[in-house]
Amino acid sequence: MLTAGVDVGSLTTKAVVLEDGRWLASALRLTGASSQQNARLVLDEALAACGRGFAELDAIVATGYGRISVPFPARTVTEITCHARGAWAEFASTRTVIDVGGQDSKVIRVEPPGRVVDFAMNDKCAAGTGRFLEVMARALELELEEMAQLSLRARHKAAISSTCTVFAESEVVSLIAQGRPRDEIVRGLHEAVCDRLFGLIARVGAEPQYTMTGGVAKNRGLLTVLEARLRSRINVPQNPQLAGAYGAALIAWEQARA
Amino acid sequence: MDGVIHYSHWGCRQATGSVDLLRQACRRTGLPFLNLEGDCIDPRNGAEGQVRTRLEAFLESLASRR
Repeated sequence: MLTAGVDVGSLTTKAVVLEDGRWLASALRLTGASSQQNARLVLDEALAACGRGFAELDAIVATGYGRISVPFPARTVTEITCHARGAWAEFASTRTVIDVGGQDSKVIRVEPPGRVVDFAMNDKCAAGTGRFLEVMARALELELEEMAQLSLRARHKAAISSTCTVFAESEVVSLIAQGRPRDEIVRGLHEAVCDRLFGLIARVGAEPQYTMTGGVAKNRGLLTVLEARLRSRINVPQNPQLAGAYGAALIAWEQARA
Repeated sequence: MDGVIHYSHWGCRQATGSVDLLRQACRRTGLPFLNLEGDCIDPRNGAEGQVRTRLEAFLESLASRR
C-alpha cells in the first residue's frame, strides 16, 4: 500500500512516501509564495525519486499550517499529531517531543504508540523559532551552520534579555557595536531560545526521553545548550525536518489499511 | 466528560489568573485540558490559524483516547 504525507510548513514544504509503512523517498522545497503549487510539486518530486506516480497513491495526509489548502484530495491532520507520530516511530521511548520549525515551536507529551497527551505552542510571535535564529544570523553575517559551531566553542555568553525577535535584533546590534565576540552573542541567542522552549516544556511537564524535530534540531549548538538545561540527552531523527511528513504518511497508512 | 476547553479572553485577569489552577485540577483527575487564548473584541490580538491548530490537535488527542 502506497501512502504519502505532505507537510506544508511556514518555511519549507516536505513530502514522504511510504510503502506499507516503510520509507521509500522524500523531498523538500521552500514553501515560498505559492504554497499550493509547491505542495503538489514536492509530492511529485518524492514520487519521482522512487519511480512511482500520483495515481498509485492509496492515501495522502496533509499537515502543517498550509494543510487545508493543498490542491489534491487529502485528509488533514495537525502537525502536532503528525510530529508526535513521526518522532515516536523513530524513538519509541520518546515521552516529550520538542518541535522547532520556521514559525512555530511546540512541545508535545506523548504516550505509546505516539499518542498526544498534552501540548504547548508558542504565541503568535517568532520568539524561540527558526525565524528568530535566521534574523539573528543575518544581523551577525553568519550562516546557520556557522552559528552552531561558534556557539559550541564560546566560553562565555552574552546576555540577551529580550525574546522578541525585533528587540533582540537591536540587542545583537548593540552587542556587535560594543565589540562582544560573535561566539558569545550566538551562545546568548541560543540560551534565549532555550529559555523560551524551557517555558513550554515546563507547561506540559518535562519527561524524558526527549526527541527534537523540525529544522532547528540540526543546530548542534542549540541542542547542546538545551541538553544541559534539561540534564538529559535529546534524540534527533535522521531527518528532523521530515518528521511531520513522515508521521503524516504513517497515519495515512494506518488509516488506509484499517 | 471527554475534556475541558478553557477560553482566556485577552486582558481578562480572572481567566489568566485561574487557568493554571484549572489545568492542575484537570491533570490530577486525568481530564484533558486545552487553554485557548484569543480576543472576542479585537481580531488583531488573535491568531486564527493557531487557534484552529490547537483546537484540532486537542480533538485529535481526544479521539485517540477512545
